[in-house]
Amino acid sequence: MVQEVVKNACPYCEEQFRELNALKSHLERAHPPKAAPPVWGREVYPPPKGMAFIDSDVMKCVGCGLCAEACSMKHFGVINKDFARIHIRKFLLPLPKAIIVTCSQCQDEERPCEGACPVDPPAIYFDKDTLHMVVNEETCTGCALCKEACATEAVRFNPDISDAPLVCDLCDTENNGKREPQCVQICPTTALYFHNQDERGRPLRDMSRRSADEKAEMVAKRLYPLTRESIAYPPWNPDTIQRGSENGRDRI
Amino acid sequence: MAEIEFSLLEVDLTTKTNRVIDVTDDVHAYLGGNGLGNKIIWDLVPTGTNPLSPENILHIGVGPITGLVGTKVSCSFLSPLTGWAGEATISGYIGDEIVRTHYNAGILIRGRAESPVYLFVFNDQVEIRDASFLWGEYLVKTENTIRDRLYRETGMEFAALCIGPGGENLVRYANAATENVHSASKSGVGAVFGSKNLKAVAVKGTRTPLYADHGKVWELRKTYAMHPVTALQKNEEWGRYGASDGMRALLNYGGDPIRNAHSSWDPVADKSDHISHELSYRAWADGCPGCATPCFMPFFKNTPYGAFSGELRHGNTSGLCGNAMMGYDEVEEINTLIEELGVDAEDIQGHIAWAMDLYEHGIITKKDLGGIDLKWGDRDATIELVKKIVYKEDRAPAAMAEGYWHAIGVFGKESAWYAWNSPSNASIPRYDVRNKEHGMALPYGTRHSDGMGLFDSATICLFSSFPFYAIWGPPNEVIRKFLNTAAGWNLTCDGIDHISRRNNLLGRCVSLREGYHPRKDSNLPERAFDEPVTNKYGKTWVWKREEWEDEKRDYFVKALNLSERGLPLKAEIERLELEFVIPELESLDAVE
Repeated sequence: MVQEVVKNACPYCEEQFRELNALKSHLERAHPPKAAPPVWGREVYPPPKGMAFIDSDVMKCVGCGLCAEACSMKHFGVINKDFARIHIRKFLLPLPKAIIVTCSQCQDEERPCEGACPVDPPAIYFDKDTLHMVVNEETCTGCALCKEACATEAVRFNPDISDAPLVCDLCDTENNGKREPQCVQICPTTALYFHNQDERGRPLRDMSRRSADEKAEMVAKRLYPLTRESIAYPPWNPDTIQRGSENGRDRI
Repeated sequence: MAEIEFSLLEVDLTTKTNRVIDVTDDVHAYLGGNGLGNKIIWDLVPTGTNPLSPENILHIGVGPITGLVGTKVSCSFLSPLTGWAGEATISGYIGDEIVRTHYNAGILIRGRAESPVYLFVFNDQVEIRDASFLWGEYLVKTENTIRDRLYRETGMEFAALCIGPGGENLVRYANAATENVHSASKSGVGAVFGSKNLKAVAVKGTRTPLYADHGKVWELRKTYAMHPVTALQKNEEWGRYGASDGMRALLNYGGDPIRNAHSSWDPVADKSDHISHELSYRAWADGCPGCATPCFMPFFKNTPYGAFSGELRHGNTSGLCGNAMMGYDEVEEINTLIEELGVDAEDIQGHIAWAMDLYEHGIITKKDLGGIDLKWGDRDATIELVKKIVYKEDRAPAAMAEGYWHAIGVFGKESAWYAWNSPSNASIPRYDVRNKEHGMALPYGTRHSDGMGLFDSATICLFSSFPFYAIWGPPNEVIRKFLNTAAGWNLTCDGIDHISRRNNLLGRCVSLREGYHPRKDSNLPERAFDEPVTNKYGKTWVWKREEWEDEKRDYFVKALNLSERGLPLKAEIERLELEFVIPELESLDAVE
């Protein structure tokens, strides 16, 4: 039996054509091309549903600060890193190293900012419906106790823009559940990512909740088996070798 | 669209006063950075000023688009190396902080402090503070101390532009550095800091940058940061290897001088390239504010005799590779010291290779060098020599600390043939001028200053700009687009060309006023005509004198719009609205 090959079949419907031109005009008429999404790549990945928070890969971060600017642009419509809920700290170890500070949307058991709020109910709280931190600007007194409670320094205050604390709301500014973190989208080195917390059933975020100082210390340790002082003053200077031994630290 | 205003912070170290000047009109005419800096030099510095005297100025210049996409600061002053227009560019956080103090035309420093001081700028709070306790300290300690103190005082992370012992001892090619790896190197900016008794400039700004339309600026940034071309640059090229990317090709094809430019290829060149750097010692990548293609690849190296850290870039800090018969292994260690002492790596590395050459030919002796046996590629001897140059000890190193012109006077005429320096008294440790493939001979041979007209006036980064061309078009168009978006101007293509040529010409006029003349100062080193070099694949390069004269004349006339002799044309000066320079240049016979 000879199988008949249909050359000009429409891939979208049942119709067949003898001429290629007829197929083309059919495609243009019946199946117009859909506009391609005006995106480059990262935004097409859907953000995770459910519990999630913005995590950072410290060693990938180069300190460009675009994340902080994206944040201030989203929330206040201006470019100013100091209005942002995410921020970059620059350490000299003595090599320059940028460390990102993000809010890890702590689990219920450990959420010091909410616990420190003197207002009842707390003005800074975790919204169980939209799954991120929210600040109630009407009841907030601006006492900054939440800032002091947060070891990560993720709660920030800037009197130039607001009396209420700045804390990451996953870019859900309306608090209606539409979360699309701008910092994650813009990060050119993909050092920031939207971390799905439910994925492996592990609610703890202690690793990403370290303070920037602590993280810098760890980076320094990993690279420098010597003490920080001995790195800062290279050992070919005889003066510093003497000064170093006064501190009780011997150099290799 | 609202137009923004530009203000300049003027600090007088002699009288300990400061004031803010509105320079909006000047910024319209010259942009910021080096363009505005040269105008300030022309207006404020008397002709014939000694660059190390209090009358010299130091303009730490930013512009309307500093920090928009990549951050650059362009310092302008009279160069201690030449006495002509001086320019040194630096990247890093400092530019972003200056813009965010709202001194968006930069900081102008005049006079001289009685004792060592550092300048403290925190938004509108400006103080001149004592820095005696830091005088004599190495760069990293200086910066760490200042940053630590100010962090405790204000809770803010300051950017500090500091000098090391090189600048304090007025080494003519001293630099000023920030964040350990960024350095304003050229023209001896550190010596100008030192001559003013200024150890550091610490700046922090927390204000919103003045942009005409933040939404449009953000669109520009977002396009750049998320564009596939940027990702390519980040992952495959500069963002991976830093500025050493492409070094292997240069070394193989005779692009870089070897053995103080006596040769163009040697097996020692195999010891240094971007791959060995990446695999052996690169710690991580570090970038400037707003830049999505970070090109700083700091290295760290722990050895039994010490820990070394810093940054290697082709063209800046890796100038010893090959030229002094070394590889990255040695250069990394020497370079750590050079960075700590605060001298321009490029210049001092040229001097070191020159010293090795002179020592080999018996023009300087072991006694001149204070007992150093300076053999090619000797790491320990080089480290000793670097220290002696910076602290000006012994005859030869002390002479070399004053630059080539002075040192040739001390060593005698026969040393001049071995010197491999540009007409602006700077070393050429990278980019062999005999190689006609990369075409660096004309820029080096006709150079009077290190300012790059449009780029240094607009304070746009040359290294971050490669993706821009794929996204927006040629450099002038990119800068026009940025300026119009950020400052709310309506510049046309002709307008940007006008500004570009005006700034180039003004820089040249400042140098002409201070004694530069193309008749005597536009030449290649003698050896470019006398000594052919051959690259790895057998191709030989050398300049013929007539050929050079022809090329130079063409370059002056066609590229720079000057006369055949390399002097500004009156009609061109008038076209570019620089009439104020004519009387002074006419008296010097420097205008046609």
